[in-house]
Amino acid sequence: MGGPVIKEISFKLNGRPVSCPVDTRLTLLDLLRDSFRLKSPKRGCDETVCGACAVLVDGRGICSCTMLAVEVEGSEVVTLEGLGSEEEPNPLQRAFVELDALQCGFCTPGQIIGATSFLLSLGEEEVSEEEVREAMSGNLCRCGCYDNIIKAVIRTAEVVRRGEWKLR
Amino acid sequence: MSGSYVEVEERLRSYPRVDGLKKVTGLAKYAADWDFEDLLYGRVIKSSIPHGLVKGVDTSEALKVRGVRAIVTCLDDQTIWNAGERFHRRRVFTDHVRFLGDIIGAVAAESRFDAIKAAGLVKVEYQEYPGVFNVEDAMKPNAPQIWEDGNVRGPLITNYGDIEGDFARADLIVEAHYRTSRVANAQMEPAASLAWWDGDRLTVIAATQSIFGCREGIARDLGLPLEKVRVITQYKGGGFGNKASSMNYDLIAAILAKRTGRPVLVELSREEEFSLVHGRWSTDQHLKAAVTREGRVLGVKLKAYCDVGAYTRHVGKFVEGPEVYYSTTSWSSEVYVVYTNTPPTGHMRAPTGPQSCFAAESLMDEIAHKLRINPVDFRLRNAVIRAHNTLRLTSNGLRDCLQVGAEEFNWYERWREPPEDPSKLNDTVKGVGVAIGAWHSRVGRGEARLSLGQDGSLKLYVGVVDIGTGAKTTMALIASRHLGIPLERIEVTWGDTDLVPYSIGESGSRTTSFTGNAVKEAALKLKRQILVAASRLTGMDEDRLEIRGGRVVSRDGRVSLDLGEVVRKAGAEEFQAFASTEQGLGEDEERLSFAAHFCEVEVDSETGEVKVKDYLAVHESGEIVNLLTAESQVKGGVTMGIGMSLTEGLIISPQDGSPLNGNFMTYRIPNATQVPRIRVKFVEVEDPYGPKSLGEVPIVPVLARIGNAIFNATGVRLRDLPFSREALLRGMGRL
Repeated sequence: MGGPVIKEISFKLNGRPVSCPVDTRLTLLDLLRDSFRLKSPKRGCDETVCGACAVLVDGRGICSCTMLAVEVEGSEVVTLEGLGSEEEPNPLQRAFVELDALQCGFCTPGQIIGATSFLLSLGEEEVSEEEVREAMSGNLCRCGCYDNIIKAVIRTAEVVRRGEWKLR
Repeated sequence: MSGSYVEVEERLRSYPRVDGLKKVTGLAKYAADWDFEDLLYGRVIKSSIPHGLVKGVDTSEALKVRGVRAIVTCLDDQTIWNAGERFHRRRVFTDHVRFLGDIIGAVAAESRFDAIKAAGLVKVEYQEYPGVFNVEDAMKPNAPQIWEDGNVRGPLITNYGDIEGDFARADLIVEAHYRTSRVANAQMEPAASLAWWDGDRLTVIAATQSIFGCREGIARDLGLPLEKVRVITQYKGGGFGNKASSMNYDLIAAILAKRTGRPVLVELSREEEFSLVHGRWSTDQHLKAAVTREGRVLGVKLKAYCDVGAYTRHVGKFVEGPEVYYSTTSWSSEVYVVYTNTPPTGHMRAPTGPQSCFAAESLMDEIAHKLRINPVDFRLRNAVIRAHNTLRLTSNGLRDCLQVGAEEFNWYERWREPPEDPSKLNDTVKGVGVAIGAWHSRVGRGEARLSLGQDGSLKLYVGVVDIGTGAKTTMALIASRHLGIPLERIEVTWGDTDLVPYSIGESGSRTTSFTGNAVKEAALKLKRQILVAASRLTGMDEDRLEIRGGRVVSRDGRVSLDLGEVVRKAGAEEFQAFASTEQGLGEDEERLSFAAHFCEVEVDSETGEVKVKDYLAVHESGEIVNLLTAESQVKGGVTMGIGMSLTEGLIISPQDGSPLNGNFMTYRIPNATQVPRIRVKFVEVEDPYGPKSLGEVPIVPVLARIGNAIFNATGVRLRDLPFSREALLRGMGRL
């Protein structure tokens, strides 16, 4: 039995360049949670269905539970920790709180990453409710906050469209 | 009087959660998020057969895995886990395997990889028994015995009135058979527990709905005095009933931590969550109703069988509820609880509620149709007046829910008779449905402590854990309202048995009532203290002073004192108040929360696809403390009910009793595209005991209501859950 294979990787994490040795079997989720102690991505299903582990990789929301850590070599990774703070929440985070788009909060980091990924992809047009529902369908919420999540995302999309919040 | 300054408008305002920012920034810390340098990872060792005895366990290969620090099995640990189970003593690590995956032991290792690998290398030798994987087989006279006292418990009986007399004088007898499937709680946070010992004192970071229930269970099962156990739960990713009290994974973490002398985190995978942690049991219900020509239901006979799996943590009647929300003069239920070699069952949001309501409220709809009575009128005619025809309800807004809902939904305009011939339907058809439901609104014991500091800030100590219900916010709001101190000046301490007084925890929809009453009581005590001190300082009579916006003010406007100033000038460090309250219902009383749900469905008559459209949920839960989070509770219950109606059902393997769809890929909980906008309306009725329950009741009427709307749209009555496209197409003559 051979031991684990270790590889050195470098990438950008929440705006900072980082490098570290990783076990090649390690998922991005475990790397973020266990090595970098960033606990916002949650383990929900381990199979790319629930979206609780979502992070942004080069501006796109992906499930970190099924991406290998070695795959982020050279990429830019953003977790919820990199997106606004308790003192200065961004408009999306404020909308989530004000409209009660969360209950237990476990899926919330993934919901906000998923919504951010959607907002980053927006053009000039107004978004429809159907479009938002479709975009958010990869983030499950068992507490059943969909109604309020959709409202929060639509409200923020409008803020982005009006140019009042620049994501990039 | 207490709270006389609380205006209705003020009460109905909505407040965002006090912990909202922690949740949207990723700061909220769940059990698996705690960091320890020397943390070990725990992994359970599961049986590879559904039924049999463990004859031997060989750990030699597993122990060779680098990083393994301890392996514990049923051969060297006899701990009994029986929290919440009054029927059977269940071992944490079993030597009698009762379902595939039953826990035989556990491993602690330096990494997840090591733990998984070692758990897989443990070899177990069994004496295999034949298994039974459904109710019918389990009830056969020669069936293999899962428990020493047999596979069947019951009949569990509920009886009131003269049932035979009512059936004899009925004009019409209507009967039907309904089935509901096993469903999973499927909360987003899989089971997790982190434990460590400081000498002989155990600390558990639990994902529990009740820190005090959890502490009591762990202490009892490990033979420790209560004060030797500390349970902390800061944030918890839902539970819906399957994280109440202490769980076996809490004990496993504690046992592994003891063996290794290090902190151990035990996490279950999603698939383990589906098969090892309990969900809702299935039911097979036969109902028969005695009805008059005018549409009065006189009595109901119910016979039901429940598949509760290898273990169950439920202790009630398993099929119950509807007998309290109709005004029948008699009722007779006979329920059989059947053990099978399948995954365990237990509590899930309103444990007996939705499946029992489904059968009864579908039957009521069938009766209304037979008698050509509008479904809303039929329910108004039969809605409860006295529970069990004898008990006085402390408050009852059921008829209001129906009437307000019918008006808001425009029911009488939108409802029409269902199509006569389902086979003639084309394209998309629409229909509307209604169903009522109720759930227990218990009263009981609560505690709360308040302290007002020299800076005028208020600290509130409550034993809640807040699993998403918004309990911290609700408790702070109650203190705020009764004290006249703004919400933002209140700091809540919660979720740690070392720091806070007792609370029942977030189960049974009890927090707002049990703990909320204690918060109110403590707030009123503190208010009295403040006013007495302020009266002394100002020379004004107490009854001419009040607290508004965090200041003591006189009614004539001459006095305006900051609360901190009152504390300082009184020469105190702080003002403290503690309350321990206990309510009990009178013997002739029953207390319920009520709901009436209305909706429209769209059915594609070619594919059988059902879409839930316009949804209106009208609820009566007494006083609503926070409209915003109360609405969220209702939307959540409706969403979960839509899942149970249309997509969710655990498929049990006929070969080995394991769940064939125990993962999120194949067990489909609703996503954002499957849930409509949900309108929520509250009818507020005063109740002598204060706010009533809300968390569970919203799921109760959903299944029946969707079934009734499908019937209204298509003329096809579906009696098995989840409603399948196949059954619907067959009903429409398409299959």
